Amino acid sequence: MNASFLTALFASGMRQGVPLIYGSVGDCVSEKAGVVGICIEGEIIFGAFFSYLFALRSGNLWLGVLMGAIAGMISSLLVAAWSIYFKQDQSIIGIMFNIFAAGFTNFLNRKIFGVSIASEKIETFKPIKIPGLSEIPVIGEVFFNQDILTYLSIVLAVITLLVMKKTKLGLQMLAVGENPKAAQASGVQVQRYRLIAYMFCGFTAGLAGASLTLSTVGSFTEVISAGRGFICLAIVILARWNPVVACIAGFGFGSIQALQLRLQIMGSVVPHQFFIALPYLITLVVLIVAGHNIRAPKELGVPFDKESR
Amino acid sequence: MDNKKKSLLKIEGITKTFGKVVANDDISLELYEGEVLALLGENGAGKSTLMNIIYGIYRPDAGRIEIRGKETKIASPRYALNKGIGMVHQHFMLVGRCNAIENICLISKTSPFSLVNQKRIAASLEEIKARYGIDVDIHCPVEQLSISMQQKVEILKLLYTGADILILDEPTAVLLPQECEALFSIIRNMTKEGKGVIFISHKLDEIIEISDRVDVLAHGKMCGHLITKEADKNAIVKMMSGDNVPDMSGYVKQKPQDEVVFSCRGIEAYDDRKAKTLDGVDLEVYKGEIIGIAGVEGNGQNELAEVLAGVRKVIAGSISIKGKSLRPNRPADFIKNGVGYIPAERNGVGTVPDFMLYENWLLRKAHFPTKNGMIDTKQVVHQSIGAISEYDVRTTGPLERSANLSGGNLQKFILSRELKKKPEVLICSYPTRGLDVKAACFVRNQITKAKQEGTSTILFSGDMEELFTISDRIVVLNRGKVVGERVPEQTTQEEIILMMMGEKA
Repeated sequence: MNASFLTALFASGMRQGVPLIYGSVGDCVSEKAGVVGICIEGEIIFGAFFSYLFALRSGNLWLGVLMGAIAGMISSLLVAAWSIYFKQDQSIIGIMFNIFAAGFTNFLNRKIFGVSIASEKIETFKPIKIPGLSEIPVIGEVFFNQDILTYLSIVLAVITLLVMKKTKLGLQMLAVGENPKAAQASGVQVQRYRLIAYMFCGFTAGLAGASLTLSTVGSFTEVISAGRGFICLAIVILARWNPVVACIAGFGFGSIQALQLRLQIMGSVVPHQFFIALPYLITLVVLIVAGHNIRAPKELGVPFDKESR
Repeated sequence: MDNKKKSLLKIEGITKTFGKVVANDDISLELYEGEVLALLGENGAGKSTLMNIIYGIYRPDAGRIEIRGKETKIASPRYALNKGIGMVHQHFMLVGRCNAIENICLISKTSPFSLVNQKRIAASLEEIKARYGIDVDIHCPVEQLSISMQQKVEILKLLYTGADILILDEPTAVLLPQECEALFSIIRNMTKEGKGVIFISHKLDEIIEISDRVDVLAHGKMCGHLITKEADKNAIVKMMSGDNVPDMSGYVKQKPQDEVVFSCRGIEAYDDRKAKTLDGVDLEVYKGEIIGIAGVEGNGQNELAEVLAGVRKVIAGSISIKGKSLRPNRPADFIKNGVGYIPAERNGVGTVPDFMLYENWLLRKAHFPTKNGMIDTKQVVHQSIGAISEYDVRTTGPLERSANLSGGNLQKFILSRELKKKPEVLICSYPTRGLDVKAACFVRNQITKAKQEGTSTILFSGDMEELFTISDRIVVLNRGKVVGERVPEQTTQEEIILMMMGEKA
């Protein structure tokens, strides 16, 4: 293992981490407001499929990104309606939605593109070297020679953190997730705020999907998210609902994924299936080790009833 | 009534029903500038419902509301706040993790996209604090403040919004006597500035002290408007409950028997924050004895009650009933051996709020009525109906969600559940806290009735009069230790209070 191996590993880790960052930043906000983003997984698939579809057909990557995000947001409305307004159990709806999303995009994929072995590739986003910063050894290559979606994910995390910590909006979101009755008594429309928070989460999950197809893979494959949505949920807990910490954790999990890919190629006595399972195993271990002593938003996952006593 | 005073709020014919229960039935009242209007009524009379309607949380089924002479519909709390209506809820509406400044920022009228300017809010809060004589730490997360401090944060919140119609929903229920005085002086400062205050309570003495007028509510109906100065205490009570005030004056204490039924030795335990709050408590309870435990909040009473009921771990010590030792922190063991428990928290510990009454009836039962190996629901419902009627629990029936019961009715239900088992020992943790005169008296009566049937009671209470009237012995706790015991007839309240403070033993 030499320096160039590590540089390449972490640079790839950063790229692998981008979808995780988008997904977990959105979920931080949504969970702070009291809605669990179990359905991020499905929203990522929707985002990935529609961003691929639009980018391929229009030849415009940015249109793809936009439509992916919108697809994520619109699909989140469905879940939001059931969990926030009809007060159903968020976990069950989320899981049902994930199954639906996987099935429905498979259906669309086969209907539109036919059953082919290799799907059409699109030109992904090109890396942009940041002048000056990209010259720094190792760090330059890892963080400052990436594509635009990577930079945007970090900017998004920082802005989200600032909004959550410094503005009244952030305070209101916190109140809605901690003590919705108090929020209501302070004149905050609890359900509307939860809807907005959840739509934001859908939007970023859509971006996560777009980043999968438009900057990493270049094409859509069935169930492309491969559990990333659930890793995002773990990241949010690990990051204690802080978007910037989630950003760092996303990079960490991305690096594990990158390492896993390399270990598979290098060949060893260990069956390669073990390496595929590695990131999920590590997620589990991390949650067990770091998942105690946490303080989740008090009313996380509890539907709010305006007139309840 | 002074007609020159301007009307701040006028409501007419307000009606509100929850399912089949009519909480408010054609209620009208009016609030003027610079006065304290007391709203008096028993638990479940519909006071809180009415206030939640005025504050825009509930929508009335019928009726009209005028604010400063203009008819209006209060659609939401935000609207109420904009109209100058502020409310301190019975259960505080604070975000525990946030400090007072942040909680107050939440209620301010600034745009959601504005930055939280803690310094500016803090400066104006300091000014309000000085003006009304409110002393509270505004930088500390409110969950770390005591209840009375949290209440002050709530009042600051109202004053910050500039509200001039102030609703205080049972503000004294959670306060110690000296804290009440501080609250009253704040209220007087507020009315001096022309603000109108609606003060809700079921404590007569306070109302006579603080209010200018009294409106009496009973069973969801308005049944009297009085001017406090001219009012006769007995007349008010009669209005409130529809009959004479029950009291314990006729109660004659019977000497307990010589046999020790329940005892604990050297009990040491932690509280929830892992601080050692019980430090070697010994207690012996005789058959048919009511033993009162007095202490200033936080001196280990809550923990002792939980240990004696078998729901808290101990570091050291032993508990035994009739010579048989009980394994600490094994509630099932305690239940089986005849320890009854009335927890301080009725909703959540005493009952599962979302369960129906008959389901809650099954809690803390060693044996369920069964049929063919399964729970005999019919029998359970039948038993709970019996208890509901015998203990006069006002509810729609055993299928009611227990969260929908008022405090007094829920307490009666829990009491019936425990006493029907004919326990050897009953652990009662603040059984009459927050109850109205009638319900509290009912609870005390039941405890004394159980005593005659041989049940011993360990009564934790903050109500001195209660301790003196019904207990045979008063044991005083201070810093997790028993600092002394007295027979009520041979001591004074002052002496007990001094002992509670740890100044005399």
